[in-house]
Amino acid sequence: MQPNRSLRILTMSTGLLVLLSLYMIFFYAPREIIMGDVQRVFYYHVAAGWVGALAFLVTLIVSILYLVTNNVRWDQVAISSVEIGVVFTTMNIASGSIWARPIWNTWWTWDPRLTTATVMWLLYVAYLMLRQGLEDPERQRRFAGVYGIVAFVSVPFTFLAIRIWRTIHPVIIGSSDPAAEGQFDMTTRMRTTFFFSLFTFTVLYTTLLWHRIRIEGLASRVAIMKSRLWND
Amino acid sequence: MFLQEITPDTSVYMFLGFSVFAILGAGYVISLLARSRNLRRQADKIAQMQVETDE
Repeated sequence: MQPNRSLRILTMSTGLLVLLSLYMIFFYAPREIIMGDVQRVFYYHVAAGWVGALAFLVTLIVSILYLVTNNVRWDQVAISSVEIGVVFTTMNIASGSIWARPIWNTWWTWDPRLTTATVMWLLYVAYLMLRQGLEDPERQRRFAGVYGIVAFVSVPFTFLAIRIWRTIHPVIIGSSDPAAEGQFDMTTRMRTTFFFSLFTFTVLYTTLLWHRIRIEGLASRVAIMKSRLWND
Repeated sequence: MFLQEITPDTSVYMFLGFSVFAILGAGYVISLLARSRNLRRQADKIAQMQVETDE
């Protein structure tokens, strides 16, 4: 199964977008005066968090579609999206921890945002692990469908954590808690870089999802071929 | 922080942060490539076995 032309163009465009976003982060966006260079992590940190939430939202939608239509294709999209979401949420949490060390003077604190993000990450890691624990493919898909809907509750909680609870995590868009540390005002160049990074990561998610769904399709084709060979 | 006079040198943490993106991103892409290649090999092998069985 060779990549089709559209996917190849999308993959190359994504590579170019990533390079361009890196150029903007390191050379176009100015250095933040209070935090120094570590602030540049923010552009990808937020973008990774956004992709995590987007991936889990896609999982919610396709899980509902699977349970309604019973079409295996939706389940393949769900598992692909969860896997990518977990990778990007891991990036988000790890990069946030590294940013926090010089800014908050600690690698980790049980702040509402960090706690809800960790709970969300664990829920989706469990999704991947529990799926593997079920033998019957039909039960596996049904279980994953229900789990994909229920686990999504953690996503809005994570998003709203810094807006409804007292927290030291800064809110970049919207008003921040007075206790927040690491808050800064974005200049025009910073804002442009920030939105470009969000766009780049959204395209990156689409590309990875397309590739991952193709692998899932190939895996099911191999499984069918194996069972046919076995029956012969 | 309010009393600081110069911008602190936090570049080490910046490199550390971007290393996380690079390692996890590259690791995931490599895992996708490896899985795709393994499945294609399996599909080829099964197709070959199928032909041998038919003969």
